[in-house]
Amino acid sequence: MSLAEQFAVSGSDIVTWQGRTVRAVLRMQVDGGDLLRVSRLTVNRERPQALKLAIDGGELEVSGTRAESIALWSTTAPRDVTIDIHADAPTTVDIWNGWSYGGVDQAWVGNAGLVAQPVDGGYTVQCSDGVGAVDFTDLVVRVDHVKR
Amino acid sequence: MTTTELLVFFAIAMLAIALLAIAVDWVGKPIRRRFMPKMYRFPEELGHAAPVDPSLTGWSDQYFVIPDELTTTGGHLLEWPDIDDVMLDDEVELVSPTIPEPAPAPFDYAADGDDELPSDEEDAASALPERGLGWQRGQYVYNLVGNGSEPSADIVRTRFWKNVSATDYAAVFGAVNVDRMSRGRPPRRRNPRTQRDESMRLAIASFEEVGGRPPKPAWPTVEIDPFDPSTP
Repeated sequence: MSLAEQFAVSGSDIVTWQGRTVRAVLRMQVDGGDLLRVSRLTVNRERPQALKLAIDGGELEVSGTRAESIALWSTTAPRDVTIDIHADAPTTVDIWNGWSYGGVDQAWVGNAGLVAQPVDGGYTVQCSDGVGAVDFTDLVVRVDHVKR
Repeated sequence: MTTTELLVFFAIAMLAIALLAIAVDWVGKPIRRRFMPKMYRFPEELGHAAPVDPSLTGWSDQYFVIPDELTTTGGHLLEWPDIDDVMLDDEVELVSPTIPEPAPAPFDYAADGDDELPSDEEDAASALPERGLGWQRGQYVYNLVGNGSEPSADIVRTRFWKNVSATDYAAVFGAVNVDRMSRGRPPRRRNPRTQRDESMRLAIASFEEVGGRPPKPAWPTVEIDPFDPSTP
């Protein structure tokens, strides 16, 4: 059973796979004025990988672009990216991974999932795309939360 | 009755039967048509639109790779009956499963839609890929339907998902979705942000409008790439 099927069967966004806690999405508590610093550590070069972020009730600003949800693609985004949080009240930022297969953007199917390990000031996020076997080295990023 | 009279009567009777057969053959086309059980026919060949998820509103790259054996004329996965052993009984013209397959692969998005159609109308028409008549799983989604008319958007959409279901990549969607796609319906996924299931969408434009390029599927949620030069 794939990770996506396990998420569906369990009715949860969190499942256990080979002793590891796997999430469909990582939620971080943020506030307006905070910063998220994303550093791409490793990436599967067989197909484009993306770290996707969306804020609930606010906007994310990256490189002059403001949007409710953004995708940092391994093919276009620089290795280190700073995201400004625009929000009037404390809220959450959802983080998940996607990939492109022949130009079609995918997420949350197959063996897609992520493992988030808390580190000082943030998380190391290890992502498995949905293609093939579970492999949490498809995309590995560090997300640092800089509070205002 | 003499022998001569008997022969004349027999000749007249045979002539009448022959004329009747010719008339029936001329008027009643069905007598020459071959029967094909409904279970072997695709929706478009039944003369009505295929069932399509009503939630689809439309939209539309090379990730779906049709196995070589499916892009040939064999179509073994379909187990199409031997066309010489069956009869059609409706208004659909007999469609041979050995129709040459047009050049474009069903899911070739290598150009990713960036190709511009030739500006000259005549060039644009000549640049369109050649289409076959009728369709089997693995064949070009814009093939004309059996009676030679344009396939409707629902038919193209149904063909597309059936084709995807026959690709190696389909497995990423899971067994339930492969079954859905094999019936011409789009795959679904659980969106953990909305806690709702959502279907993949497929915008279908006319064959001429897209220059024969196959449609491109996408999920309802789209995130902006701030580093994409085309992002406003």
